Amino acid sequence: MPHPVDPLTIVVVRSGGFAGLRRAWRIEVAGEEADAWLSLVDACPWGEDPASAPGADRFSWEVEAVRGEDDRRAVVGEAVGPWSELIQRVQTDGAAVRPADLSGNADA
Amino acid sequence: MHAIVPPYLLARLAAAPAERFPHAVAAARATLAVPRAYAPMRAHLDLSVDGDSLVVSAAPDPDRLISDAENREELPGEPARAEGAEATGDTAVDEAYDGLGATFAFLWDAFERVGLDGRSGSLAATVHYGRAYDNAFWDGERMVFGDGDGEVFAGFTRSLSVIAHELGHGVIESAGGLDYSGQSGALNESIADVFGALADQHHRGQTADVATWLVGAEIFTDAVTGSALRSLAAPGTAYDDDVLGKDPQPSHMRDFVETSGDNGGVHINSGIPNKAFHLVATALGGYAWERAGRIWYLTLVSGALSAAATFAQFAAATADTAASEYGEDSEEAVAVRTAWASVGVVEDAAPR
Repeated sequence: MPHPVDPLTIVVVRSGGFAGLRRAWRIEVAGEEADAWLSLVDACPWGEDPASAPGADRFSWEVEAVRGEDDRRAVVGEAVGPWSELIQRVQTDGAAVRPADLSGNADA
Repeated sequence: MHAIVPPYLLARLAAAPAERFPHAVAAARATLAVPRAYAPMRAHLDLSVDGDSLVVSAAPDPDRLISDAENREELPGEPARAEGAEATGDTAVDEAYDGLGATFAFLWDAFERVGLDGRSGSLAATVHYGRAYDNAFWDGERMVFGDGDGEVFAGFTRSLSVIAHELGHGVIESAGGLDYSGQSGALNESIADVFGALADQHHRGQTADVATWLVGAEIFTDAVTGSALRSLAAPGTAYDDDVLGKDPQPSHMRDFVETSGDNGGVHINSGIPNKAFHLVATALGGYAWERAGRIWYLTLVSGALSAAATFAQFAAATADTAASEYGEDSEEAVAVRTAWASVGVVEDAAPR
């Protein structure tokens, strides 16, 4: 069980698109703010297979939400509905980070 | 004169005075009598007299419609410029219109292909998709362009190689498709890049030796350290930027990238077949669409490719096309086998 004081960290990694560029955004929140974000997180269908959209060059998303031992990850083909809402909030309220820094390999 | 006579030209010939062109009129009528799906389309005919001969040349015209999503993420958006309409003054609308036209002309001139599906002039695009939307994509029916964020991307419609890349996905889909993940997905991306580069070279009248072989050379802002999104000549060198990182494309199978993102690295590993195409085109010289492009195109539309094709299967199919079109020991067939060996997709270039 996550402890109420554990911060909530959400990381969104965008890949694909015509450019094939990898971009990432990250946000860390705690306390009441984390509870508010959790409702956005819980609204997403984490266990379901990603919906794939027709065509080519669409964005592909990897989303991770961690609070204590609660670690949820998903690959999202097309960001619609609650996924879109969560991803846009992380992009807006969080900070852009270098994808290479996420894996702890700053030189990559 | 093109080898393939389009149906609208046949119809004109069939209706011509038989006493003046007895053989042509009879042949046209016989050809038209064969059942076919016939869709009316725009075209233009040019008639001229060369000595005693009537010279008829015909080319199809596109039927373009550019729509404006007005910064919403909804398709198709409001019609903004239809075929034949005057320029609107909206740069994205007009650039998309011109880019679609240039790509349509390229497909016809290089491959005698009418539009995306081979028989229709319809070309649809939507611009101003979303707010500061950082992408251009093919949605299965139309090309969709964001405006870019202004910080990394200055816009996408300004790049003919981007427009032709997106339309290339339409041609690939119409030809049977290549599954959009792993190696088949990287082939899908690579062939779209080849269409992009070739349409750009065709528009500029460039031969293989002087072409830049860049895709998306116009879309970065000045803030980005990079010349383009991708380089077919030197995959992995298109950009090296403190924010974007370094162009991750490999140019040899030993550097094939395994990743869960980007549908299994379809925009990354496409560097390998991209380099193979560049090697064939530069080995043969001249206009790249005339032989290298033709071999790739005929392989794509041959029906011999599985939707799940691997690099090795595509390599074998292009080698077969080159051999059947130009001869087993032809310069073209040798160039194709040598190129795939050079990028490590096949083991050696020994004649089979």
